[in-house]
Amino acid sequence: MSQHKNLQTDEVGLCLKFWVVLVLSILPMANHGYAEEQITIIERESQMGFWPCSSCHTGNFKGLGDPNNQHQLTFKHMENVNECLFCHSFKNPERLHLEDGTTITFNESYRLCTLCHGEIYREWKVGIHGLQTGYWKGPKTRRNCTQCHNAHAPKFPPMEALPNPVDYPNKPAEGKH
Amino acid sequence: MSENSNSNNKKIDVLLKEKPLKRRSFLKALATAGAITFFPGKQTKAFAGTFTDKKDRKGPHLTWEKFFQKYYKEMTPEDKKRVFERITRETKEYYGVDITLADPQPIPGVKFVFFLNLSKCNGNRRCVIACQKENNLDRSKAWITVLEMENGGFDFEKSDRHYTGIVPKDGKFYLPVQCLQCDNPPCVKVCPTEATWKEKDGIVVIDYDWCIGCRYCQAACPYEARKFNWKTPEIPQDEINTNQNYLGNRIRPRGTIEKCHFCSHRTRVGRYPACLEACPTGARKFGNILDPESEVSKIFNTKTLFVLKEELNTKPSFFYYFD
Repeated sequence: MSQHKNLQTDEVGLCLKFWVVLVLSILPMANHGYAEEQITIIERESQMGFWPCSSCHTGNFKGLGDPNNQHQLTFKHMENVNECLFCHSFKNPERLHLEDGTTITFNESYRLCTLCHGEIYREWKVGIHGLQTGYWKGPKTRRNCTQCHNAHAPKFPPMEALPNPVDYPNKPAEGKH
Repeated sequence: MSENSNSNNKKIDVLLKEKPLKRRSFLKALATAGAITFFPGKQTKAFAGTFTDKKDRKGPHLTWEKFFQKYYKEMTPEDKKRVFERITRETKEYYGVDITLADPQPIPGVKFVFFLNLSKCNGNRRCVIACQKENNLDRSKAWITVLEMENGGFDFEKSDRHYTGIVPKDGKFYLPVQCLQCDNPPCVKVCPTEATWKEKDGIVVIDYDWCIGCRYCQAACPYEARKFNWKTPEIPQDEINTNQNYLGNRIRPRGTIEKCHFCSHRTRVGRYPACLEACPTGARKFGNILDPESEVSKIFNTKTLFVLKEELNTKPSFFYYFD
């Protein structure tokens, strides 16, 4: 009987040891991940040109017509879409609205973009798509979709190339090696 | 016959007379030269002034201290302190800037990799200029070369590195090339003085004070990543980056080789490289490949990557992909 008891205590001890070792080995791994990192998304509202919208748009703004007439913008986002209220909330001009009627601020506009661009949103969420600054090992600053892409013409615009510092003034003529 | 011999004798006499004169003048000249070199006095002030004038000097003087400096790997902490003080002092003297010099060590368990999305890169060269400013390069040099390639192939012969104007152009894609931090680096193998080596986090570094400027590594590198300092770098005083490290972005002396070092002064304290932060398209991705949660690991698992000149077996840590 006493032998049997001893065996049991040994088993309990072994179990305890096993669990202690397991927990101790897992704990640092859990802390190692990037889960606790702070990710800041740059605010959009403070950077917008016509902010606040309510200074001009009072009440509901139904029936504004062609979006190309508003704010001198050229609308090149979707084919056959000719309606501001597709994205902008008709109740509050300073909000966007999702497909279920939820209103969101311009700072969270990625929640609206993801309705169509889910694949890119997934990449953006893990940091593959778009510019991230700060620390590869620590706090990061991430850009909102509309920081880099104009929501009304989202294709990345062509830009002027900076001069090559190693350019020499007399570039050899083309075709002559 | 006699006339001839007479004339010959006269010539010899003249020569004999001239000889002591020549020697005297020679000695005189020697004494003057010695006086100028060893005892620069009032008369030689203008002459000596040309050496102390910053604009005409060819960089900081070669001193006893610098000439007998130890190899970086053999330096004790005291040696390092003395060397860093010397470099800080010389930079202050020559460029007139107070710098903070350090040598951040590789973080254990970290292997740096760089990914570049060629579908995103539009060749605007923001990275080239950001790199130049961050790493205190001479204003006529660049560590990153952006090649304008023709769509549908990787023929470097057809590439153009001097393109200008609005980018991206039709039918072209842009391929930025910098040091690829190879795991099997040809440049390290050829160095006769072992002034360049590979660190544990994957960065290939150079001890600029141990480099003799033979440029073997420049010839060995298949990616044209290494650049040579033909002259002391000329940098506007207000644009000098004062956050410097010994094996990285400190202002290189004349006659040494230099190259991209993944901004080791930034990345070894956890920050992103300067070229990545300057890229407006977000084509560049940097991180620790040994961490499965990092964004580079996720790219590694999801994208089709390739390296440049794979057939040379250099095993670069710099990958390209299209998506």
